[in-house]
This record gives sequence, structure tokens and C-alpha cells, in this order.
Amino acid sequence: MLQILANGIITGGIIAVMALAFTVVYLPTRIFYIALGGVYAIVPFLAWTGLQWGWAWYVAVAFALVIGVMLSLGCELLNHAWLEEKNASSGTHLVSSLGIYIIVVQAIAIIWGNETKVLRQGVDGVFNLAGVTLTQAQVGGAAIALLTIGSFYLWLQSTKLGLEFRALADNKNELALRGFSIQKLRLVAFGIAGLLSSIAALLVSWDVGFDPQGGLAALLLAVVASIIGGSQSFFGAVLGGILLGILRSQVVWFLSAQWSEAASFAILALFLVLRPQGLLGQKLRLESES
Amino acid sequence: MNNIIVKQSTRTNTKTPETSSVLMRFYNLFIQYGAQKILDGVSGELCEGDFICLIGANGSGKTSFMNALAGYLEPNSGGIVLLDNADSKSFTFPRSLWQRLNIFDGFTPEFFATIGRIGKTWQGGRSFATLSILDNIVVATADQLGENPLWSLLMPKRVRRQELKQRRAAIAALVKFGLDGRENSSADKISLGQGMRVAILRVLWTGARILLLDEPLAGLDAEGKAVVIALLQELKASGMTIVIVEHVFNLPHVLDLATAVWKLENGKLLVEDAAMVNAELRRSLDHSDRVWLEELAGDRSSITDIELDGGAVLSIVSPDGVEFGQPILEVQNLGVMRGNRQVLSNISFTLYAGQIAVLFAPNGYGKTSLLDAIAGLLPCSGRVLLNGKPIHRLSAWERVERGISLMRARDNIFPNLKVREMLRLSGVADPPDNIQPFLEKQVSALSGGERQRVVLACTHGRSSILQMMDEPFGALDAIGVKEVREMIEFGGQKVYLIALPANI
Amino acid sequence: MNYFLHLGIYACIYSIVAMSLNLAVGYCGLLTLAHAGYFAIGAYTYALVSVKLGWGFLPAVGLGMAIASVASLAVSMSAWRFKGDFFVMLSLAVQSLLFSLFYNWFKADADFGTWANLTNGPFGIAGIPKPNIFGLQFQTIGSIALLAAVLAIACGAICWLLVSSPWGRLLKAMRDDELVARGLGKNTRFVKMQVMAIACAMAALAGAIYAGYVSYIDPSAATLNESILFVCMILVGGVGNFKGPLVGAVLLIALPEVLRFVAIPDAIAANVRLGIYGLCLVAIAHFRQQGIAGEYRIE
Repeated sequence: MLQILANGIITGGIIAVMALAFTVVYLPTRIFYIALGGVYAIVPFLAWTGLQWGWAWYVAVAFALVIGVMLSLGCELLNHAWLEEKNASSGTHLVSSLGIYIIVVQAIAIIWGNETKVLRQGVDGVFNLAGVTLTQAQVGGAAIALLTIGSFYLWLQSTKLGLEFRALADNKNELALRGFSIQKLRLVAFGIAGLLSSIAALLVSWDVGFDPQGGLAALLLAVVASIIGGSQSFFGAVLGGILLGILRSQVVWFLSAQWSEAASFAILALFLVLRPQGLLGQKLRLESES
Repeated sequence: MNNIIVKQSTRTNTKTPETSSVLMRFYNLFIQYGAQKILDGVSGELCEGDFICLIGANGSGKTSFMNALAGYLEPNSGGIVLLDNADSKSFTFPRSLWQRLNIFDGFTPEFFATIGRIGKTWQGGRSFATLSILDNIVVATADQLGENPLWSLLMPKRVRRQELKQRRAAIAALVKFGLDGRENSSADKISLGQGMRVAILRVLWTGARILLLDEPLAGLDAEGKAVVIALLQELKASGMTIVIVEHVFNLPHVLDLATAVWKLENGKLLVEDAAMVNAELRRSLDHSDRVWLEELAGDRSSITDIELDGGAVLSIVSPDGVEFGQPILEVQNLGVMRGNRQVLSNISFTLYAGQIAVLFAPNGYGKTSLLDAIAGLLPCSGRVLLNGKPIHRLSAWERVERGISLMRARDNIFPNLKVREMLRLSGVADPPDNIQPFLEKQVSALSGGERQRVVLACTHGRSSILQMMDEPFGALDAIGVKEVREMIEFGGQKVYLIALPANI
Repeated sequence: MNYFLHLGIYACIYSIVAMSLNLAVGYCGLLTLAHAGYFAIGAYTYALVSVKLGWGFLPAVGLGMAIASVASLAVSMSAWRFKGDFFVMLSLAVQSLLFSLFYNWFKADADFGTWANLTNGPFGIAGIPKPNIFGLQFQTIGSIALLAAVLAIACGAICWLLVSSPWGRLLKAMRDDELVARGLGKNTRFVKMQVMAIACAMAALAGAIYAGYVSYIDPSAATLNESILFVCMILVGGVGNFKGPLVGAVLLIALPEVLRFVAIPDAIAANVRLGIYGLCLVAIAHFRQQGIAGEYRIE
């Protein structure tokens, strides 16, 4: 029982990191950043290539992270910022993001091929803590996920830039009227999202491997997590991620791994019916839903 | 214009021999957003033939209340009962899970429209932009055979017959509403006044017997208002039940027609006598902000009134005996579009250091759009120059760097930040004494007056050469209003541009 | 000649899909990424009942359309609570679910078509008979092309009738301002259910024609990539009128044929094709939101 819970919390933590990445762009800018799945997909391939070229693992990882962040910044600079200039609707941003995602994934498939790859060879070491068996990858993953989320939260609450970021999520216009550059803060958002999703991608691919199509599935989980946690706050995404991880691992145990997709959908449907604003969300001043 | 109402509904409306029947009853309505109580136990009833004016300060919950009565907004607790002679349908809140899931029966706007025969209109009309005027009306017909895809495919002749009948009736009604010849115009090409008439006719076409009108006179010129008011008189005479929300300056027109006034204050509903409210209102309107302006000007300065396109007046107070150097703000031929509508056009004026300019314009004119455009929050056409240099291509934050400051009327806080953090962002190093008590509170947890104080304090954070204020006196108590007036220095190096609502 | 008939059949199949998506996206604003799943429902239903139960084309298609209509509830109920961006993600969830069904309802040792192994999983169902309408066997490619064309034209006619009917006007009103439409007493949630049911049923019809022509179906017809292809087709071609979807369908057929002439290695041909679609999407978003020939700009 505890084993399933532990597995769930750990996978949940990684989902939480990705969910945070998505929310970090969505909350301040209302952009549905589908191309984030592309960043998620390409980063393990870059690390893999680095390893193939004989680099040490930390060099390969750094390389992959840097390119991931740059790709994310590129999405904003070359795409979304332009659309914003033209006052494009959110659907337009979404379609362009989808287009970029497709281009990135096809590029990956053309350069590296379509098969699944792995980042580490051989069998992983295992630990045994209080009757629960955890692989090295799981423990490392949990630790890094925790560190990442913790640092983000610390940055958000304690630094000046973090304050500006929270303000951006609250009221873009009022922040602009106080002399802060919205353009710069959006870049910060995309940069952080790129970094967070790259970390999530590396953690998952270290554990189970990676292929070009994995990005959208991961993004889907992230969006589901942010909806059930409450898409109005940064922390809601984290909570949703962990909860989703736990629920999914229960399903995998009691049914089978093949049904975990269906399970995610069922959980989402349940939340939409019972509590559409998510766990941490509040009812908005919407004129519509009754 | 007699007999303008064409009842499309198949229900018969038999009046009982007694005095008019109760159509709707609501009790203990309670609406809360986060920490703010909008409605705190509101109860009352609506009888047939009533003409109610719903009044209350901005943010007092008028819109939320109306939305609840129309089925758009679910209150946190309480109940609403819809009555139709013998039948009654009651709703208690909060709704249970099964009630929420059932799409055919429940607390929804469409249900209230069909069963309660309630119709709502919005500010500006909100016609369907891609449909013609005629289609806008005909689409509102209830119980259309053709609206079921199966029947429209399998019974085309019957559908066509029904459709033709409706179209003929609609064209006739449009003539009576003064819109003949415009049936096939696209709905986004008509004037605001015409749009409002279309909206009212559309809602009548559903067979509504209760009308909830949200600021129907907003943005209309004098002629437009007269037409709509005449329409309301006709509707009242034919026994329609009406609840109307109107801005303070348009109220005197409709108060003459009202049978009662509902006043929303601090979440409670008070029923008042229409004639008394009318008299009190006329008295208070005389002490307008124009008087304050004249007091400020005193006898050492002059006031110039400039008429702006669209029915607004810019009153500029200039200190006497001061040489005008370079203008601080020049606005040349400014135009603002909101969606497809041209909200402002051909706005030009120049302001010099030491002047105070007050823009008096009625609700719906575009005061907020003008200030937002000068500040860079809205795209605009034309030119804006600050200290001789063009700024209309700069982003909002760059304009702020150059000395523009804007205090907005709505959507002007950071709800999830603490007060201390909001002040810090604004560059306020020393929070004033009256804010000290709630420095650590979250902004969204403050009351309306406290929020306005915080917003006011934020303007002290940056020095600016152009200080713009959008309706700065809303939601403030007497002390707050005094503070704002004191804040507006006169004869300094700054220029003030203030937007105030007015009755033109 | 056969080559052009082959292209023509595909053009008809994709036109039907495009018209169905036109209803959902162009008139209801519901950008659904789950359509390939419904396409596959039609294909698999036709395959299973014609192989296992010996049903003719029309009853099999009818059943497929009925199942797809009921299954469309998954998408239309998502549309109640969410619009725009989140709806797209929910449709993606439905897509995963449907694909999962086709891929996983499989047991190695059982015969396909039984409850233990309904879809034969990754192996797919082969040997699907060509369409047979009341004894009239459509065996040659020419006859199938004729059948496809007739069905495509029939779908077009039905769509046109629906769009010009009061129901179509109601869709336009809902698209313009759903809140106001509800205030006039229109049950918009129910209408959205109707739209999605019709759209998914049409997609199922297209799927059945596909299965009858190609004689083989496997879960690859229900992948996300297929859904994305469909969506690209209508976004690039345009929605909200009649020309748009047809332009999109033609483009979808033409592109791989054009690529054939540009000597791209087979291994990456599919990727290049998809990549070009991605590029088209970005270009459309930046320069021409109504698509090449459409009328409705994505909201």
C-alpha cells in the first residue's frame, strides 16, 4: 500500500513540475503553450546526443537544459510576442503553438528517428526505505522535483522579480502602469517554463526512456493536473500534479498500466462535474455557468 | 405605437380578478466572492405590472443581482420562485449535484427565459453581429420547428411556412419600432440607439413578460434616449413588468415611470418610494463636480470649455497670468476602436503645465477608453505627444517612464498580493497612516473604500507630469473624496486629466 | 486512371471529414482534436459487423454512426464547462481514451470480434469486404469511387440544408454571443450536443468508406497525428463556409503527392508532410486566421 503511495507521490512530483511549467506561462499570459510539449520532447534527445559524443553527464544535461530554455524563449520572441503585437486571440496563439509543436516533433523524428531511446544503460540501483522499494532514478527524481518546486516557490515569494511575476499574473495593465516591462516578464515566464519542463523531461527519461511523441502526453497530464488543482494559482498546479500521480498509480496497480490514460480522463471528468474550479480555485465572477 | 408586443408564446396569460399577481419571489439571496459579500440576505417580490428602478453605488451588486434573477449567476444560498398563476417553480441554493447535471431543467438562463418568461438586455444591446437585423429578431422566436436539425431536414415545408410567417410579423414589428428598411442590414452596422431597440424587440419576441434591462440608455444621445424612454412607457402601459438598472444621471428619466425603487446598499435590499428618490436625486445632482471645479478655480483662474466629438465637454482650469510654454500633452485626432465599433473619433486637445482638465461625459461615451489609450493600454489611431515628443508608438510602461500616471476606476488592484507588496510595486516607500492597519492583508480581502485608499496611495509613488484619473470619486467616503480633491494641486508643474460622469 | 480514382476516393473521404469538422469548428467554435477517434469508430464498426456478422454496408454504417453519435457525448459534455483552449485539451484527452480503446482491447489468444478481444489491438482487422448495398457489390475501384462521391455529395447537401435552416441560424447566433442566445431561451448545451453528434456521425461514415475501400483497419487510423491532420486540413483550408473545407481536403490529398516528386526518402516522408502542416498552421495563425478560403477567424 505504502509502495503504491510512494510511487504515486514521486511520479506526481514530476507531473507537478511540468504542470508548474505550463501554469507559469498560462497564468500571466493566458497563452496555451502547447509547444512546451516540444521542449519536453527534444531535451532528452539533446542530452542523449551529448552522451553519445562522450561528454560527462553534467555537461550533457547542462547543454540540454540551455537549449531547452533557448527554444522556449524562441517561442515567445519569434512567435507569441509578434502575435501579441497584433492583438491576436487566444485561439490564434494556441494554433500557432500547436504548429510549432508539430514542427519540433517532426524535426526530432527526422534527426533522431522514431524509436524509443534510453539515457542510462543497465539496471538501476534500488533502495529500501521502511519497506518501500525505490529505484535510484525514483529517489533522484523525487529529490530534484522537490528542489525545483521549492526553489521556484522561494523565488516567487521572496525576490523582487518573483513579486513582479505574481503581479503580472494578477493584473497585467496595472503592472505596466507602474513602469514594469511586460515584455521582459513574459520572457521570464517562457524561460522558467522551458527550464521546468526540461527538468521534468530529463527526470522521466532517466527513469523510463523517451521518444518523440512523449511531449503531448506529458503536457496533457500537466494540464489535467493544473485543472484539478485549480488553474488560478501557481501552487494549485503542484497540488494537482501530486494528486494525479497518486491516483494514477492506484489505477495502475488495480487495473493495468494501459488504462492509466482512461483513468486520467475519468479523474478530470469527475473534477469538472463536482468541482470545476479545482481544489484551490475560487468561483470567479462568471456570468455564465449555473 | 399601440399593441407593439407580439406574444409568440403559446401560454395564455389569464389575469386573476384580484390585484396583479406575484410573478417572482426571491428570499435570503446571498452572494459572496472570496471575502466580499455582494448580497447579504436579499428578499423581495416582483408583481405583474411593476416598474422597478434598481439603484445602488458602483459595485453594490446590481449586476450580480440582476444576473441571479435572470438565471445567469447562482447565489451561494437563498431561493428564487417563479410563479405563473397556478404553477410555480422554485429554486433553492446551492443547487445539488443532480440538479446541476440535468441539462433540461434547472437554474439556467434559457430555462428562466422560457418558463419564467424573463428577458434580459445588456448595455449596448449586444445584437448578433453576423446576423441581419431581421434574423436577430426571428431567431428569438420560441418553439421553432426548424431549430431541431431533424425536423428541418425531414419537414422542410412546415419549417418554411413557420419561418415565412415569423419573418412577415418581424418586418411589421420592425416598422413599428422605427427600423423599417433596415431589416437586412448587418447588425454590426447600425447605431447604438437602433441596436438598443433591436435588443428590446428581440427579447419581447421571445414572449417575455418580465424585462430586466441593464443600463439601456447608456451611450445614447438625447434623441436616442427619448425613443427608448417612449418605448418603455408603451411597455409599461401594456402591462409589462420591468426591472431597470440605470446610471445615476439617466435615472430621473426613468424614475418618472417607476412604481417602486429597490436600493442595494451593503448587501441589503431596501424598497423605497419612487417619488421621494426622484426628488432627492434631483437635489443631489445640482451639487455636481462642476461646482467643485468652480470653487477650485476661484477668481484667480479661468475655465475654458471645449466640446469634444460625441457629446463630451472638456473643462480646462488654467491659472491666470501664467505664460504657456511648451504643451505637456497634445492629443491629435485620436480614435479608438473596440472590436468593430468606433468608440472615439477625432479627439483633439492640448494641455499645458499647471492646468486641470476635467472630461465631463455621460456613461458609455468612452472616458475610460480615452484615458487608457493615452496611457498606452489600448491601441489607437491619431497622435499623442508628451512634452513635444510622440509617444503613441510606445508601450504603456515606456510612457510611464516618461511621466504619465493613470489611476483607473475598475480592475485596478492586484487581488492576490498583500497591500504592502502592492505599495512596494508602486514605489511607495512610506505608507500613509490610514493604510497602516491593513498593510499585511491581501488586497482582495479589503472593502471597497479601503481598496480605493490603497489605489490612491499608489499614485504618490511615482512623480509624474501628467496625472490622469478615471472617475476618482467612486466608492470613497467623504474623507476619501476630500483627500482626492486635496491631492489635485493647482498651479504646479503637473497637468491633471480627470474623467467624470456627467449628464449632457 | 486508377491512380486518379484512388485520389478521388480519398478526396471524398476527407471532404466528408472536413465538412463535419466545419460544423463543429466553424459554426460552434469547438476545435476538437478527437475526430480521428470517431473516424476509427466508423471504420472498426463497419469492419467488425461486416466480417463477423455479415451485415451489408448501409446497416453497418448506420450502426457505426449511431455509436459515434452516442460517443460524441464525451466531447460535447466537455464543451459545456470549457471553451477555447481548455476544450482543446479535453478533446485531446478523449482522443487518448479512444485510441487506448482501440489499441488495448486485445487479447493475444482470443479471436477478434469477441468481447475479450474486440479490436485485435495493434494487429488490426484485415479482409474487410468491399461495400455491399442490398446485394449490389461495389468491387471495382470505379464503383467505389462512385459510391464515395455520392455519399460525399449527400453529406454536402445535408450540411448545406442544415446551415441554411433556422438551426444553422441558431448556430451562428450562438457563435456570436452564447450568453445572449441563452438569455433568449435557447438551450445551447443541447445544441452543441446535436452538432457534435452530427459531426462525429459524419466522421464515422467517412471511416466506414475508408475501411471498405482499403480492406484493412488498425489503430493507426485513430492516432493523435490523424486528428491533427484533420484539424490542419480545416484550419489551413478555412471554416465557416463551404469552399474552405473542400480546399483543405484537396490540399491534404495533394501534399503527399507533390512531395513524391521531390524525392524525399520514404523513411521521413510522413514526418516532412506533418512538419509542413505545422508550418502551415503557424503561417495561418500569423497571416491569415480565416484560412485560405474560409470565413470564420479562430477565436
